[in-house]
Amino acid sequence: MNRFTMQRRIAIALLLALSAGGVLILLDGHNPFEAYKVLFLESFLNYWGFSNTLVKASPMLLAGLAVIIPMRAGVFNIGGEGQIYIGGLFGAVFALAVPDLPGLLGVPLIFFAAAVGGAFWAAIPAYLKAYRGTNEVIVTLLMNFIAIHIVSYAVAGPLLAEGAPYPYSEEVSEAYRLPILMPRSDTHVGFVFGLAMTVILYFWLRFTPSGFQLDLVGRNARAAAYAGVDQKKTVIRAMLIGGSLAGMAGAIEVIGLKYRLFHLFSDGYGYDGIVVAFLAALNPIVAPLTALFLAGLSAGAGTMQRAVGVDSSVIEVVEGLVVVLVAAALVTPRTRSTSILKPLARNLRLRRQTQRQKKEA
Amino acid sequence: MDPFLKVTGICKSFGAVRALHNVNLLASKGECIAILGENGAGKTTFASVLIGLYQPDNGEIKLGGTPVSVTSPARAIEHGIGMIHQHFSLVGAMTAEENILIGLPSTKRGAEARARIRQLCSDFDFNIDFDIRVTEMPVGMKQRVEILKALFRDVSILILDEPTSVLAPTEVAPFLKGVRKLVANGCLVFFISHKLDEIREIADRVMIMRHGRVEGVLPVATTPMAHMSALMMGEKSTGETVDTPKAKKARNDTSSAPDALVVSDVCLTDPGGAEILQDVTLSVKAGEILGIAGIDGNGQTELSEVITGLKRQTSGTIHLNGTEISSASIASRIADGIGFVPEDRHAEGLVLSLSVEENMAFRSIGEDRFMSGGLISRRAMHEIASDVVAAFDIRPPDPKLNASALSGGNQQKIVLAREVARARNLLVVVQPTKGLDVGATEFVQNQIRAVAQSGVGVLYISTELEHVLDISDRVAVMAFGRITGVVDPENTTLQDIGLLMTAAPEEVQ
Repeated sequence: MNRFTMQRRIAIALLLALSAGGVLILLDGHNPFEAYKVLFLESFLNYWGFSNTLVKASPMLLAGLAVIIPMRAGVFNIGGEGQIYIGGLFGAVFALAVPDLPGLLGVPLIFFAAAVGGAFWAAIPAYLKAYRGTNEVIVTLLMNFIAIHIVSYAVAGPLLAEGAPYPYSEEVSEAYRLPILMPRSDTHVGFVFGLAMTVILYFWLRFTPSGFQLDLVGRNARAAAYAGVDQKKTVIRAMLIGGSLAGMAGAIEVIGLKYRLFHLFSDGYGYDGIVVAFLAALNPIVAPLTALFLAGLSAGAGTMQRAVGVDSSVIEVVEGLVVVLVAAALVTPRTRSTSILKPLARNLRLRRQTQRQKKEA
Repeated sequence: MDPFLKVTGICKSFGAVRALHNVNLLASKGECIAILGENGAGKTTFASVLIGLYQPDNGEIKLGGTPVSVTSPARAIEHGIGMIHQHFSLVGAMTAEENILIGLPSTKRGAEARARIRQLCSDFDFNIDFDIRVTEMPVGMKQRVEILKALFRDVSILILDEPTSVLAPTEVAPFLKGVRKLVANGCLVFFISHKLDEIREIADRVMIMRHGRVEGVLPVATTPMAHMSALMMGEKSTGETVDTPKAKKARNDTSSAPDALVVSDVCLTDPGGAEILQDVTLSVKAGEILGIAGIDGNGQTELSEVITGLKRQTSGTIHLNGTEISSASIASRIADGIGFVPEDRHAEGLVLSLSVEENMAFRSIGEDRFMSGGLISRRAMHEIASDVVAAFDIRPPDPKLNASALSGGNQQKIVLAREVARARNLLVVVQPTKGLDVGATEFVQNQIRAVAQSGVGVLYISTELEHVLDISDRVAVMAFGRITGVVDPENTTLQDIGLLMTAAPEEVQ
C-alpha cells in the first residue's frame, strides 16, 4: 500500500468514526455539528482549551514515538505505560535526592534518569524477545501492572510526603520545574520537547544507516539479516529507545505538570501512544498531529458535555471507533494481516481496565 | 456444441498500463494449452483473471456455455479452476498432508483422504516426504505439494505458472508425464512457460502473448519453434537467435589468476543431525565462473549461505583472497565485497514495501557512494538507482515505485544489479534465471559474464543445467551435500553430469 492510499484510508476511517459519534449525539437529542463545533473550537481555538490539549498531547506524543520506533523494528511495545511509570519514578527519585542543582543542569539530568528508568523497564522484554524468543506483547503488557504497583508502593511508602492525604511524594524543587509555554496556564514546554524528539527520530530513520537498518528489520527480517543487520541488537536498540522516550514522558508529567510523583499519575498515556502511533501509520513526523488530535478529543469532551449537554462518553466511543477503523484501514486486503487489529482491540480493553482501576482506587 | 471454456474480449488495465487487451480463447477439455510470452506480456494477469484474483474491466468467461463470474480464488475452485503460482501458498509449519487437507471439513480429512493423497502422489511419481514440515522442504518438493493440493480438489482447469522452473532436470520428465496424464483424464491444463522445448513436448496448442495481446493460438505440432519465438519477441528479434546455439563465448584464461575463494572441508550438520554439506572443497579463481550443478535440494543453497555468512558451517574453513573469513559476520563479508543473489528474491533479496531505489541500496547502505557527510544521501540513492534502472531496462522505469509493483523478472533485475555493483571480490548467484524469459536470461548471463571479466570470481549455482554449462568455466556437480565431480563444460556430456548429479553417496566414494 503506498503512502497516499494509506493516508486516504486513515482519513476515511476518521471521518467514519466521527460520523458514527455524530449519530450517537443525534440519538441523544443534540445537534452533532454543534457538539463537534464546540469540541474542536474549545480544544484548539480557545486559549485555555488549547493549553489543556497541549498538556495532554505532550506525554501522548512521546508515548506514540515509544511505540513507533520499536514497531519499525517489528517489535510491538505495549509497555509504554509501565515505562512512563518507571521513568517518572527514576526522574522523581533523582529530583528529590539531588534537589540543589541549577535547573539547566538538573532538568537534563532528570530527563536522563527518567530515560534510563524507561529503558531499563523496556530492556527486560527486549532481552527476552531477542535472546529467548518470548512474545514481547505479553511481557511488556504484564510489566505495566508491575510498574504501576511499584510506583504506588513507592509513593505510599518510602517517598510518601509528610502529612500527605493521598499517596504522593514531596514536591520537586522549583528550579527543576519545566518552563511554562503559555502564560497563566499549566502548559509546559513538554510538547516542544516532543517535537524535537520527533524531528530527530524522523531524520535518524531516514538519513542514518542505523536508523535505516532498524526499519529494514521491521519490514523484512530475513532481508535485513541478508543485509548483515544484527537482528537481536536492533530489537534491543529499538526497545531501549522506545523505553527512553516513554520514560521521558513520565518525567514530563512529574516535573512539568504535577511537580510531585503521584500514585496512578499517568492517565493511560502509554496506551494512547499506541493509537497515536497507528493513526500516524508509524511515521514519526505525523505523530505530533495525531497526538494533538487525540489529546484534543479527550480535552474537549468535558467542555462539550458542559456546553451542549452531550455525555462525554460519546467521545470515548469515537476514540474507540477511531482505533478499530484505523486498524481496519491499515489492513491490506491482499495480506489479510490481523496483526495490527488484534493488539489494538486488546489495547482498548486495557484502557478500560486501567480507568476502572483508577476509579476504584 | 459450446466449447468447455470460452473467453471473450477480456481487458484489464492497471492505471495507464494495459495488462490485457481483448483476449479471446476457446478451449476444450483434455487439452493442454501453453501460454508463451516474455516477462510482462500478460500471461500471469490472464491466469489471475481466470482464477478470480483480478476482475476483468471488460469481457466474459463462459464455462460449458454458461457465463460465470469468478470473483475470488475460492469461487474459482468451486468452478473447478485451480492454479499453481510461482510463489507458493503453503503453511510452513504444517506437513504436506495438512497443507493439502487444509480448509476441508473434518469428514473429508480421514484415513481415506490420506490414502488418496498417497495414491495421487504415486500416480504422478512425486517424491514427497510426508514426515517433515513444509519449511524443511526444498523448493521443488514444496511445488509438488502445491500441485497435489489442486489435484486433490478435483480441478478440471489447472493453471501452472512456470511449473518446471524450480524442478530438477530429472524431475521434469516425470512431471510432464504427470501433466499428460491429467490431460488424458479430461483436464484442461494451462501451462505458462518460457521453455519452448517443454511446450513442444507437453502442449497441444500454444497461446502466444505479447504486450497484453494474444498474438496467436497455434497448434504446437505444426508450428515451427522459430515462428513461436518470433511472435513472442515481436520485431525485436527473429526466430533464429533463439533456436541457433549461442556463439561460444570466449572463456577467460584464469589459469594463472589467484584464488578468490577457497572453501576447504566444509561440513554443515542441521540441528536434527542430518548432514547437509559433507567435506565440500572448492576454489574459484579471480575472473573465473565456477558453476554448481545439481538437483534442487542437494546442499547448493546451504553452500551459498555458508559462503556468504548466513549460515555457520559446523567445520571447515573459507578463505577470500587468502584471508580466512570462516567465522566473519555477514556484515564484514558484505564489506569484503562479496555479492550474493539469493534464491528467494521475495523473502530475502528484496524488501517489497520499500522503493526500487531503496532496494538498490539496502545491502550497501554504509558505502561511501550512498553517503554524504555521514548521512544517507537520498539524492545519491536516487541517481544511482536511476542509472541502474536505465542500464538494466527495469520497467516501469521509476525508482520511486515500491518494489512490490514490479513484475518478477524486473524484481530479479533489482537484486542482480545491486549485487553486481557490490561484488568487488566474489559474486555468489543462486538460480539467477529462475522464471525469466529468453531475453532476460541472456541479459542476466551477460551481466554475470561482465562481472567475471572484470576480475571477480563468480560462483554460479543453478538447477538449470544448460545455463550452468553455457556460462561456466568449470562446473562442479553437487549431490547429497558433496561435490561429486568437477568437469570442463566443453568436454563433457549430459550423461556424465547426469550420473554425477544422481550419484548415490556410496557410489561416489
